[in-house]
Amino acid sequence: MTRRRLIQAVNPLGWMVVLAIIALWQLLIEVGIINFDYTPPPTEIADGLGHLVASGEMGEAVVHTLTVTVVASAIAIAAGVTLGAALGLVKPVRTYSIGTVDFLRTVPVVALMPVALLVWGASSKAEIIVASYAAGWPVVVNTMAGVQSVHPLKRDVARSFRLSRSETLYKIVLPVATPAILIGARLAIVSALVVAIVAEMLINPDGVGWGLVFSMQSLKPENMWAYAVVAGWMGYLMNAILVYAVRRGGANMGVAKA
Amino acid sequence: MLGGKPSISPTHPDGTALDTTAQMTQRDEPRAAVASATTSFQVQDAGVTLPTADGPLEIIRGISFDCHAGEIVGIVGRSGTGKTTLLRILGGLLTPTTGTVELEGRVVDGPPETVVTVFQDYVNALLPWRTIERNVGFPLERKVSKAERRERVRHALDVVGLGDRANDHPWRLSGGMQQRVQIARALVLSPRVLLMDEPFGALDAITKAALQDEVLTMQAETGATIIFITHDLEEAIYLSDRVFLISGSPGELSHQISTELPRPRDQITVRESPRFLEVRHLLGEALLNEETPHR
Repeated sequence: MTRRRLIQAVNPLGWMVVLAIIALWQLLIEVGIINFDYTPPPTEIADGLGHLVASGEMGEAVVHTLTVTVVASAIAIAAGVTLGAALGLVKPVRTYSIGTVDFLRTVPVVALMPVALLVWGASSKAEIIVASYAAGWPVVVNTMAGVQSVHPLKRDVARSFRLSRSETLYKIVLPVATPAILIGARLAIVSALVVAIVAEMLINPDGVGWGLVFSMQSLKPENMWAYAVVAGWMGYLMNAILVYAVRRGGANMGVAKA
Repeated sequence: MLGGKPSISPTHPDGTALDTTAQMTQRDEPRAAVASATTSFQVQDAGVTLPTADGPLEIIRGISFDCHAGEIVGIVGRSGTGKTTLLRILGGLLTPTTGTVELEGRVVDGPPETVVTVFQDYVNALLPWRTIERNVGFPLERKVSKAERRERVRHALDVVGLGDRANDHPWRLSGGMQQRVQIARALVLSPRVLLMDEPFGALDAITKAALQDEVLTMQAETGATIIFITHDLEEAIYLSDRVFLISGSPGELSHQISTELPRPRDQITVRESPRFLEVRHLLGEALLNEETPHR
């Protein structure tokens, strides 16, 4: 993205709305119209955030959650592309496993968290397993659709140039599927983040998710809100980076027009 | 005007250019199948039946012909008569349900190394994630050295007049240019047999004439056998030694007309020569009669 397009991407009116809402929130609490015990004004949340950052707690929590997200996403993408390609390209695999896949991917992952807790204990391992489980399915589904979208004529081209099966896979099928796989990967990373935070609340006391629950239980709403704001930023920034990366990757694959 | 030039093409030394009136009879008897060093394709009673939603459908039936090495054959016929199917069985992309296809004495049971097909649908035949240069070099990968590949790609792109677009992606080019990329991708292999499905359909008249002559020059240099499908009767006559008319449903090879035009050919004089007009007349008559098959 050029600098000019970056500046164009900033929407001043949109930012003014955000600032106005924050100001209104502060104002309503100051004049006493909103008066809940656990709804601090933005200034107090900023204070809480400052303390958490200064003590290093916030940094540790963010690093933990991001590490789990990255590891779980990597596992999900590697496994998802393999399974999706097998489902899309090998008819017997599809025939015998598509029903199972359709069932498993619709099971709410939150329902599996108690199971993961009992099997693997309150560990980062359990957290990574549930996060990669949830993140894997969009990759599987997108990869499968991607490898199946190869135009029959492209297979004729591969055959008429006498490409081997593996050459056809690497030079035709995977490039055709790449835009779909990139979109699946983007969905995977975002859902890995969400599931990691939920897992930190339910099974592994660590990271941003645990920070939220812990400050709630210790009746420190300003810290709780600070964690919530940071979790929001993490999701927003990660999605923005991925949208940009997928767009760049897609353009390099020559599919910008497709 | 032909003025004194021999009227029989040098690619027919055995006098296969039959008397035209005899050839105008429906369902020509196939010539005797004699395998020789100069035979390219030998097609014997080839037919294709494909399964469809409404049950098996016979696409082509009883196609028989021989084709000499270095011969140029143009295939014409209405839409849906199975011209593309015929080209697919010649290219080894489809196995005929009945009959046999032999190339240089060997049964075609898959795409032969010496054959290259130029497809009608250039958009899907090219690889949009590769640049023009890498599209054209695609069939040479792992076959020749990088230096030789670069050299051959550059030459092929120069032949089709796209030397300055090597680093662009296909979707940035016009339809005609994309088809020229596909032709370059075929030329880069210097194939012994070139099969083309409506190769010049998307081109403007001037580019079309230039590429027709490029194909003829390439053929003269390499001696390749060329079989191509076209909807343009004049193109079929101008380029070909023989024009095949496929008609009916299932499609049958109803007419074979030897053009007997000399080579090298010239866009202006050949198209005005009496023989050219005569062949066009015969072909037009054949197509007209086809409209009332039950007369």
